[in-house]
Amino acid sequence: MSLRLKGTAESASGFRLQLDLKLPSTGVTALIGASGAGKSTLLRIIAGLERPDGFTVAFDGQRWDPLPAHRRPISMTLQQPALFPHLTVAGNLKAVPGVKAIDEAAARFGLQGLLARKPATLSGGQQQRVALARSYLKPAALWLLDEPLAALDPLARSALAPMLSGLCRTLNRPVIYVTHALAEVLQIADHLVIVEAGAVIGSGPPETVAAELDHPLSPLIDTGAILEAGFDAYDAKNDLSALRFGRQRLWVRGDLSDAPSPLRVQIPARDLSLALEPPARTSILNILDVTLTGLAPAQDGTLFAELDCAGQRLRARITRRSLENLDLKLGMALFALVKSVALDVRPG
Amino acid sequence: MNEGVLTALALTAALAMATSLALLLIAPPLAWWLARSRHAASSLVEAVVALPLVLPPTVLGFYLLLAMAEDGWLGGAWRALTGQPLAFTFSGLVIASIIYSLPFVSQPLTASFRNTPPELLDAAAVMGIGPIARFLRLMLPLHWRALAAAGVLGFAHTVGEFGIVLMIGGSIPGQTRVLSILLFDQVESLDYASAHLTAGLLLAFSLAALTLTYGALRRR
Repeated sequence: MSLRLKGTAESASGFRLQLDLKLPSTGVTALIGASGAGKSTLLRIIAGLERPDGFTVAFDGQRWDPLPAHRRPISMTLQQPALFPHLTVAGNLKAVPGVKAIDEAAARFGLQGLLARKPATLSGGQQQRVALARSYLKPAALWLLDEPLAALDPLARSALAPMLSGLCRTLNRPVIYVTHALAEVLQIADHLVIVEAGAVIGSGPPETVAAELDHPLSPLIDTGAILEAGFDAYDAKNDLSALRFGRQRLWVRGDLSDAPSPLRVQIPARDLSLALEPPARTSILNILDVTLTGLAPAQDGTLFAELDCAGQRLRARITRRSLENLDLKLGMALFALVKSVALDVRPG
Repeated sequence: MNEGVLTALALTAALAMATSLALLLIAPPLAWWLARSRHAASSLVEAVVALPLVLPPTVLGFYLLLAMAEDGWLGGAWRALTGQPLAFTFSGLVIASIIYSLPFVSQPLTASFRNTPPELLDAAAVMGIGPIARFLRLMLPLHWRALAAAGVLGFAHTVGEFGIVLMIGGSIPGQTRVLSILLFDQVESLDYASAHLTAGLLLAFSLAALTLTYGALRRR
């Protein structure tokens, strides 16, 4: 059971996408990368909207590359809602060939009151919900989501994100979700693919792929490390939740007592600082006991300190001067100061 | 209004109706292809379609006259097919008008089709809608204003034809004597009173048609 992608695609502007990739054909696969990395191009190739010569697309052994987009068993949302302006919301939904009943989809995406409206009278968030409902209605072997939240304002995004995550989790349909925001897919991704400058630099389960990247930190996307942690306690007075992994504890904002467990948290490498002694009187809430296991040069002259933390791998970005000042040696016990924790769980 | 004017009016309306209906069948697929094609040949095709805009009608009329003659390729084929001649007949006028008015219908359509947001076509494709259904069921309704405007322009331009009709149709009452030809005949015979009526009719009609067209194109 897999989606096989192999080939080279070159755009008129000279951008080159080259890869040889095998993705699981079940669950949620997240394609992440900075803007212009080639992830949307890859999605368009899977959909058949772009068909570069000699590019293999095979789903569960079936060759898709000879098929035009409309013959492929895929469904897709584009970056823009791309609704037909001359049709009502109901008309847009019924434009999917073979679709008669739209009530369930309309209810699922909260469109009941909007069915008679034209797209121009809807907000950006509403339009995107119609686009999602439209792609949800098409029976498909694979659902492709191209930055479904990117065009929305923060308010609309935070309203739609949990619903979409919930849908990806509960819908028994393989999904490929393209985004530049790792937080969007952190809790739902079964498989993570990191795309940079037209190439795949990492592909695997989220907990390991970030830590195993050869170039762990591109200038544009800082995956840092992804940890799995369980909910421990909620401090209602300060609105903080404690997460536990091994003997370590992480405080994060909000009440996560109802969140699915285990939770994934992401700690960007640039948000991790190192200290030889536990700092006294600091505003930083999270200080982890770590062991230095490796040092790797980054592209921009800084260093990555590879750390072990209760059996999970972390990465910190440090300067060469810090390396000298602290006289860091492999195997040293250190304190890692966590400036931020990306989590983005809003149970949906 | 005398009988000659009424006959010419009916003939003009019939010619314009037949021409614009035929053009509304021919021009949309052609314009769609011109708007979408990146093929080198499409520039040549677009130029050929646009030729009637720049050529004197007499040039086109001259070649059509040769082609529609009994021994011409078009006239001969028509004769073999229908047993009728083509030059100096209503059918011949319709064919000539289709060629002559084609750019007036295809150009606004091509321009409108070229403005189609590409993501709409992508969306249709990933919805599983094939290229023909995409064109007929989504693009034609989406561009209905341009279609309406193109239809009116084609109709109006056919009404305004003169040179080409004179070259291949002559002035046979009830057959080829349309309003513009009638006006020419009236002026030649110094019947200025009738000429005023005919000219006024053509003027009022053209103004109304253009106002309608620009109105349809404006509200988008």
